[in-house]
Amino acid sequence: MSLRLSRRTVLRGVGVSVGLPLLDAMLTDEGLLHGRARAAPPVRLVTFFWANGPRGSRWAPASTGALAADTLGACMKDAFAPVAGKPDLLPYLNVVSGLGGGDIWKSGHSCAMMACGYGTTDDHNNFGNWPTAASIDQILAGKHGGATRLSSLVVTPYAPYTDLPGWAYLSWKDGGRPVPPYRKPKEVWTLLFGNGAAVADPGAARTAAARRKSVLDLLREDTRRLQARVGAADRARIDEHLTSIGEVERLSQASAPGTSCAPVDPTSTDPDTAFLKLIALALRCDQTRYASFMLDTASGQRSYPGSPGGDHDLSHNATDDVIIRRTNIKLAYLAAFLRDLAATPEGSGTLLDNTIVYSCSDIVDGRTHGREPGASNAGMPVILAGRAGGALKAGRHVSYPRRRLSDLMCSLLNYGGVPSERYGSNGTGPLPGL
Amino acid sequence: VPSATSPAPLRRLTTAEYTRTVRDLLALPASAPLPVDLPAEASVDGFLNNAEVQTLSGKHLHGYLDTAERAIAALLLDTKRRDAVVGCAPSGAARDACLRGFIGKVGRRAFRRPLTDAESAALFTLAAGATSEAEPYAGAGLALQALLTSSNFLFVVELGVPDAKRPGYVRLTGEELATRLALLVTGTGPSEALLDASAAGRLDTSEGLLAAARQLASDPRAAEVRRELYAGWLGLGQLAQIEPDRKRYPTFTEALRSAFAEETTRFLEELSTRSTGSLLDLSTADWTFVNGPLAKHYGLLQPTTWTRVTLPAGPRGAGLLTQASFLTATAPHLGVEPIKRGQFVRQALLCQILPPPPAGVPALDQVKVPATASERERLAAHRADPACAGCHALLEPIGQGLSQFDGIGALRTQDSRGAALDARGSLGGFDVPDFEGPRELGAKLRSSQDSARCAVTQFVRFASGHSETAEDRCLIDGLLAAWQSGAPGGPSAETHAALVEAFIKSDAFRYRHLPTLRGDKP
Repeated sequence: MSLRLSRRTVLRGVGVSVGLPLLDAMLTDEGLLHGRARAAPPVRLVTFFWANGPRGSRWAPASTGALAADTLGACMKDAFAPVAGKPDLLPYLNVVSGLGGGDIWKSGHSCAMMACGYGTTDDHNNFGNWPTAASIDQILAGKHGGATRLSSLVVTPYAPYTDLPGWAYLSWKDGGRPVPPYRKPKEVWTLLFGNGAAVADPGAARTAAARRKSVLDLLREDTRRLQARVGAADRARIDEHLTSIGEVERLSQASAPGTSCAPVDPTSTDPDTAFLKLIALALRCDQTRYASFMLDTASGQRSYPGSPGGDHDLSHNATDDVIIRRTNIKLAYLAAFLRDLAATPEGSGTLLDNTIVYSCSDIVDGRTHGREPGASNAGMPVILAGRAGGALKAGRHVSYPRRRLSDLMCSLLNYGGVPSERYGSNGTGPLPGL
Repeated sequence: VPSATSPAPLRRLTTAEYTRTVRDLLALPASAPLPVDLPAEASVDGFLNNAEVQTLSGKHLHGYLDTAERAIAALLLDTKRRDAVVGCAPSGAARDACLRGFIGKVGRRAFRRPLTDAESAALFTLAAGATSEAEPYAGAGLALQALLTSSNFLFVVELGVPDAKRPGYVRLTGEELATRLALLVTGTGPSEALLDASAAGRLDTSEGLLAAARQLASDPRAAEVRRELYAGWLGLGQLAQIEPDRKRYPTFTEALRSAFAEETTRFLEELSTRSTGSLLDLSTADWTFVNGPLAKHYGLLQPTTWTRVTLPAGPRGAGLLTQASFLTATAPHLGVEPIKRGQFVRQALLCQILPPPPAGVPALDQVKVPATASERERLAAHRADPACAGCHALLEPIGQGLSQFDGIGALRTQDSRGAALDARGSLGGFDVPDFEGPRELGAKLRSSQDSARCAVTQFVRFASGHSETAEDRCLIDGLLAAWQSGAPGGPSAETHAALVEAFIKSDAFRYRHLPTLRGDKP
């Protein structure tokens, strides 16, 4: 009885499994390129959140200009030290210092994290603790995400532990609605790459796939009819159902990339590493172009391998040496991810050349819990990596004292392919000379 | 003219509502497993049903599709249940009539209104295309799957009828009222009988609505909905997250943690279902429920199995405030209990919102005090910092009234520094004591109009599925007055049932304030 077949089985049944890295197989398909030149790979964006901030006074290099291994701030120096046999990351990095949030950051981690992910902190309720505008990954996904099987990939192993949504979610839809993350690496692996098992009955799988398609067709028709009957604000919400229908359809119809693109299931390692490897694979195989990842929730209390102790409490109380070591451990996850992208050839360069990885934390400094640049002008601990397809210069420390994170978000939207003059409630425009 | 309320966004069924409704439609008993793999709901004000933060992401849709596929596959294998749901055999000459009848009947339950002709036709085409003599029920299953993943099922659609006197508002239709009522009281979609009642106009009057509400209240799922309300209001989920220091508290076990939760569940169920007596006894009740291990933990000699007991004179006996569930959930780290307990009273029982600490505040353990200082002296030194005093003068003077209880809610005779206990505290917000001990604190709260208003506010948050705004002030004032005075022939004043009925009788229940896009004029 074919209804018993799971969707995963269906997916395997219809998948032709041609999966190859992007440039080898997919760029020949006009539909995937949404108008870009045939040879130019698309610009991807990844947002990477880490919690509880560095030691602000030990963050930024002493002077602006070219980055060198020995002048990096102590809190990131070890994480980005050269690794034998791996690509050097410094030519891909922008350390962006001096950025703050402005007077709208009234309180704690929540607002700061909001500004980290989305650069805007419109008051939403009495706490003023979550945004009303969409985060940049979701804006880009809304515009260009339909070109891939998954419009965006939102992942973190860490569950919310408070009822402050602003602390728990990095990706937001317009209207202040958090995108629920995938929390299990295996689920994402199966979703994107199937589980490799053979299909017992290809005929039944085809029938089930056809039935699934007929249900989705009916849902679309049904949803459109409803959409026509409701008010404008409700229509926006129903539109989301339509978007999800399209996404599920793309996932079940378009071929899952096979083992030639994603040869090894990376999910048997720790969940942080597994998710970062899955994001790298998803970008490499062009399953999505926009991803967000949280190494912890804002103000989170997790510990790290080789560095015991709840992170938030430690950020308040520990010595500089402990904080420096802990911060390097967190950023080593980022560095390993970046090395993966930099080791993946794409076009005339690497996958990292065609990506923007935006990384930030929720506060300037764990001990003071500051969100303003402070005396040292360190600002929020922003690391940008990648060259946005060549548009973004890299290998630099740039500083924008008195500018807001919103303006960096605005710049990133422009690099990502959504021309924008302003972003966020306190934004003034893109950062000059970035 | 009906009073104003804040705009109500189109909302999705919560996971709990979805699960209960799918059970109904598939004739699944409450005890049968129904695996539902949906993303966790974002929590706002403690509640998981806040429409403002809801999305319907691809991850949600995958979850809905998978759940429906699995549940319907199981249904079709269970011939008895299948026949009860489908109601006819879709084969031979009777095939089309059977499918049409089934789609009309189950579609009305799923969409909570009769299907339109276009909807029926599309579902029939889908079902007929998948039906064969070899697989006579495959098409019915497919139609059911489409219904259970439709926007009309997943969203609580309230189109209403425009009302010339109330621009920006719509008056709900009978079916929409039936849906609101069933979801509010039983957390599931309306039954066929309730839809029939609405079609016959029996929900058009307050009397009709109240009669229907009273019938629904005896449904066992009404207790589930009450638990969801109180879990959100009182932050009951926190207890599961706390990891007490086992060295300091060697008697703490997982069995004890379960008993803590069970005590509060039983207490709240009794508090919210008794026919007289105020809900506000939440902070004064000198009775509770204990089993053997909990009795031992509380220093009581009796009983050994779950029993309602009246607590002897002593600190314990201030309702939830002296129950171990609350006292443990507010003790994440030693020494901050008075802060967290005070914060709970302010936020959950008085609906007063305090901002998170500003930037640059020193951590409690960085405050310089002599090693011999008591817990109270440490907190006072911390409060001496003007950056802290503003909020903390409102927090620990309340929590200190509960200082006779340790981090797992057992009575103690001295503080963690060996200092004598002082249970004097202040609800007024100054360091001038205005009560001593939990029972006086509870009584002070019980008599405060702020706590009564907060009870109503918490209910409105839950019942309307979004945070209150200034526009809801008249609604809350009106409900408060109605709740406290009681209605002739209605439930006793200040009971849970009186709150539900006051809400059902309000305009807020019959009208929907249509939301607008940001920047648009209504």
